[in-house]
Amino acid sequence: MNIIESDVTRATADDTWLKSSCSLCYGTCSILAHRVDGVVIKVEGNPDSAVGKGRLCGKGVGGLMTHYDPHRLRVPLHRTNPRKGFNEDPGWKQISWDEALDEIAAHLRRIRAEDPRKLVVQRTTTVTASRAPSQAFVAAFGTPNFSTAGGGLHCGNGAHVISGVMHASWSVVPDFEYCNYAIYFGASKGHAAGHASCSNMGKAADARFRGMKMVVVDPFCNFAAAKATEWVPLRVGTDAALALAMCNVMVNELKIYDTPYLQAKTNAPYLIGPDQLYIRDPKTQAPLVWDQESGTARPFTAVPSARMALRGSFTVNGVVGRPAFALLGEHLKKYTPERTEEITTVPAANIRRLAGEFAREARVGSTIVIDGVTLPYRPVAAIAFRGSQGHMNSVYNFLAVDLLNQLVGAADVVGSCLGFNPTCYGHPDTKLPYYVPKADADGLMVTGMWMGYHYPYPTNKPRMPSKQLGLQDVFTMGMTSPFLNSTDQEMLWEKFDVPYRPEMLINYGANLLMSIGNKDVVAESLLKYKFIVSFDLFLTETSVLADIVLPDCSYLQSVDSRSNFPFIFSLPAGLGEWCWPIRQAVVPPDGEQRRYADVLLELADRAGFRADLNAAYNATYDLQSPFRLEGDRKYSFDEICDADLRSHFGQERGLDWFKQHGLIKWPKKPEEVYWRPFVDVRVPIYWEFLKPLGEQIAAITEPRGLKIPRHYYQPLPDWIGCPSHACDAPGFDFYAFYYRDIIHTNSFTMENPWLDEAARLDPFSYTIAMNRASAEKRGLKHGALVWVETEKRRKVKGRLAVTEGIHPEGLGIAALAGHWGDGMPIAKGKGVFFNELLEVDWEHSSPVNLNLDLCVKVRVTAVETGQ
Amino acid sequence: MSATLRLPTADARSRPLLTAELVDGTEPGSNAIVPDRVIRVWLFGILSRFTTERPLILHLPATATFGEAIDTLAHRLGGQFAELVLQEPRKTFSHCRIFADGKHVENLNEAFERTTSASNIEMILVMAAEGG
Amino acid sequence: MRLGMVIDLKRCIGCYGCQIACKAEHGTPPGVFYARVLKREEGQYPNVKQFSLPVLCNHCEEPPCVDVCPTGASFKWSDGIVDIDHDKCVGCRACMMACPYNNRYFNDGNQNYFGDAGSTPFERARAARHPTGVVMKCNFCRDRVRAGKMPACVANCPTVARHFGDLDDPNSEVSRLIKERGGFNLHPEAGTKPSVYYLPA
Repeated sequence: MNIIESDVTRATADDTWLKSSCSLCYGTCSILAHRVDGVVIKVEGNPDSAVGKGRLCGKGVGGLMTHYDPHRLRVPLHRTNPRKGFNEDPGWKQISWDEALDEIAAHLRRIRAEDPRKLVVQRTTTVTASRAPSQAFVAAFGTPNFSTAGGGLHCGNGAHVISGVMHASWSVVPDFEYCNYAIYFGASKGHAAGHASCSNMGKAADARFRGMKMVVVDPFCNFAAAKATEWVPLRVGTDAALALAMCNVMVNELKIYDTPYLQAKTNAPYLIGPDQLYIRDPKTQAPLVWDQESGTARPFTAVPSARMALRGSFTVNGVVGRPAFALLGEHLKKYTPERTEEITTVPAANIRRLAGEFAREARVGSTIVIDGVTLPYRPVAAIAFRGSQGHMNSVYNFLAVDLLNQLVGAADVVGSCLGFNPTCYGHPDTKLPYYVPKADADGLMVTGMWMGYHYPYPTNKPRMPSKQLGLQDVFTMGMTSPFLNSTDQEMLWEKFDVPYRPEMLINYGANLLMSIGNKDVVAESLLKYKFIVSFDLFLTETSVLADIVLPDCSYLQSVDSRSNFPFIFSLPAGLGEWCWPIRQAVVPPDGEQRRYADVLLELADRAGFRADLNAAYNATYDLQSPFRLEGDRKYSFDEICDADLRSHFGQERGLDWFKQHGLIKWPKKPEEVYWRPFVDVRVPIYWEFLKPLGEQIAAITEPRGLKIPRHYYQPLPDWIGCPSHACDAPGFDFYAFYYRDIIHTNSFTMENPWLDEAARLDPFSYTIAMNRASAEKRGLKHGALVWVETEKRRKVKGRLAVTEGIHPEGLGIAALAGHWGDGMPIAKGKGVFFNELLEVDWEHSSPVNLNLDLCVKVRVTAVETGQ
Repeated sequence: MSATLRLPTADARSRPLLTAELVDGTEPGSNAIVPDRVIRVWLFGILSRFTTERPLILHLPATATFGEAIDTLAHRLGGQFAELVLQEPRKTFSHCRIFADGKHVENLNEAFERTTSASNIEMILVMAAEGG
Repeated sequence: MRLGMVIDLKRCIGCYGCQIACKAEHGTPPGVFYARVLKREEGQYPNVKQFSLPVLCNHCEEPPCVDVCPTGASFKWSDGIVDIDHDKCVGCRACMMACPYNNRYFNDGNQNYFGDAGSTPFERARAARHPTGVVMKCNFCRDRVRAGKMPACVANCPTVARHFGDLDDPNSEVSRLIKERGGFNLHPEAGTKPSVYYLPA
């Protein structure tokens, strides 16, 4: 009678559930894939895993429609048309893998002999499993030019760097188990996409049910704001001002802050001289603090923290020194709620109320006992992410929000703002992985674990000439750089004596023409490459510019020994379990598809640098004897994964063990989760190193004609407007921004027909959200086709969705839609291509961390009939 | 685009680096400590361009530290090598991964394992900066 | 026994996990949703709320769809599940007119999600046996439930917003939640006594 035979009752020769990992976004939740007669008929969450806890979002549970997409690439392709451009048909011709690999290896050999830095490798952020193989490959080849494409550029430089400096982690979340009051600034953690996305959705729902109050500061009322107890709409890009005004109320009006925390866990007591630098001990160079008991200035290491002064003015070695906290208090005074209302549009009374609520809910001074351990209890958290940090002022935007946490000691203690697992004492059997934050000579925290080895703090010294095309040798706080694709890249490369030019690009899965900014700008940068190889699931808009396109395997056809490593990235924070899942192949490649990591190994063999790649894997995976890869032996990627697992979890737990079990887990200890009181490190509420860094950078750039705006390099954060705030051209009266949709990841999920179908039914996924009153004022109607245009005449077209849930000056566009290529026909023509509006140049990049400004001032006009 | 390459070129690489040149880095005839520790240095990735030999052999005093080995290496291989590896004297970049006999070197002031007279050093730069 | 579902709107974030989990479980054709998510907005700027409302067949205690079915294809099991016997359905669509909730769909022809590019191996394995010319709808994943599993949308929900159980048992989780949290039905005025309840946001 009913319709389909159920998978639960059916028994055939091949009827297996395999334990693996999702890859529809970088959250990488653990999955069970149900294979019957060689076909994956269902993907479910793996309830045994802490990553997703057996449940999946719409993207994850729909992943098999991406895997089975008939438009997937199945054979290697070579272009026959030497002319490249939007309107040039590449004339794709099928070639054999041997031909493809030989040609690519020949280019690699030549470039590696000439100058390996001419190779650029970039990867999509969607597939976390591509990180380690890509990093190993570029290290082995010898190029510093590696990029995480648009996904990395648009959220990497502020949120992750500052989370690293302040929380030794890639990102931050509220301690959902204990937090009572969370305030989000342009973040959706637990309510849509993101790190540990499904786990956080469950945890946030539990917190909501428990009664956690959540205030969401955001120009758009969606996702987190839709579930908030209070939505606080603000003018786009003004988050820092609001956060600083709240800090001002807390410090100067309410006088609520956590003195013992500030004394012991931050540089608040460090004495600052008139030059804005630490006053240092002449002998040891250690920063000095004022010892209130002896009435003398002494090195911070020599004074019990409770005796360190936070206020006052002291004469030390002939100069007047003031504790950093005293300077912060004075600095904050300019952010009066009244002045801040003008900047943010948030009423002054609300700013005062929010600050009071946050400060009082922090319960400064309280403790709680968990598993017999007495711990500080600060059940408040201020959280920021892509929305607030996606501006030129991303450093201060993020730092200003985190200052709220730091002022009340709500950092990595019970109920507070938590990093994602910055301290791990390892599996009980092997004590691996083991990492703990540590202090540098100034007592400031250095992260114990990172996504690579380019740590957020301490920053490297700026140097010339720049060896990296992204100029991160000069702008050393930059991670992913816009200059790989900017309009002014050649001018910048000349200025900074970059002694070579890029010739070859290896792209893994990124659709760069869509993901960075305006497509013409990005295309111009890509046309300069002599040779582009692209590993793709589909022919994308960007593949049109490639020379060779290689058919990639999907997540259901791939292997990865470390789906959720490092734990600072995407393992849920808070109490629970450490959990190390793997990915295994559920079905074989279709046609001639091959796995990326295997192909990289093969290329290293053909280009003659296998020994280097083995060594790079030893370094990247931190393999321990006797599991280190040796010489130039031709290991398969499966063998490398096997070595990784045995090295971390013991001889008996190799890839086969993990394929059977899917993961290994063990309980987290309270002193790992709430590590801050147990680790003797401080974090900077006063970024003393920033000003000298700015001067060092200016010393390089200014003689070369590139002015460094010093107000970005001050030790205390400020609100600095975006280019959009400076645009006062008549008619350009909306701040357009994009946001990450709950149903889409970057640009590629629009091709999944289930997700596309859901997005078409959603009021906002494929439309342009405008405030109702603002639309009425302009005579624009719901559903109208409109042009959105910037002052630089970049424009996109889309349908208007009129809503009460957006700031009157905001214009919200979801995700990375608006595909135009034929390789992804489901995605083609859907939604709005926001990034088309973005300039990619120095003028729109943060002079500190190279963050691209992601908001634009626009004019919105009805499309005339016939247009 | 005609910028001069700053890296050693293929020509420079063909210049033989004699093992003898590398012995303890002291001038011939000086009162050098008799070197009695053999260190085989394996340079990978971009660092491999600074020598045609892999491994490259160093002779150092038995009590040598990792830092002294890196200094000797930097001294022999020249400024550009040092620039890639050291952010300041005795301080390597965090992305410069050094392994002594298979163990990651955390502290350059530590000495080599006393129980052996021969050691292997592997060095590679893992420079990739992540975003997203 | 009366099987029913409780959807907690406080927990739901509108991620579409239920809608797509259902697609994956049943391989329903394009445009056919046994489960779907509606989005709506209430209030005026700045005092506005955005809601997600997951909907599915309400498995009414007094189902008008069953009453109007001329062939007996629409029927109710003794456990309360309202179902369709596709061998008996002639596709007259009277049930669709009768359903006050618009949760029945007509499968008017062989369709697949990639159109001319052809059906996928998944669709051939999962969806090929869907008869055409008949009405389709949610049956609370009857096969999964018989095998002791939760309906796909319930098992998958990342926010644990969906609960399933026996509404006749006053001690069941669903009965308890309805009582404690003030569970309500959609369109109670239609008088069909739905077995799907919602908890307030």
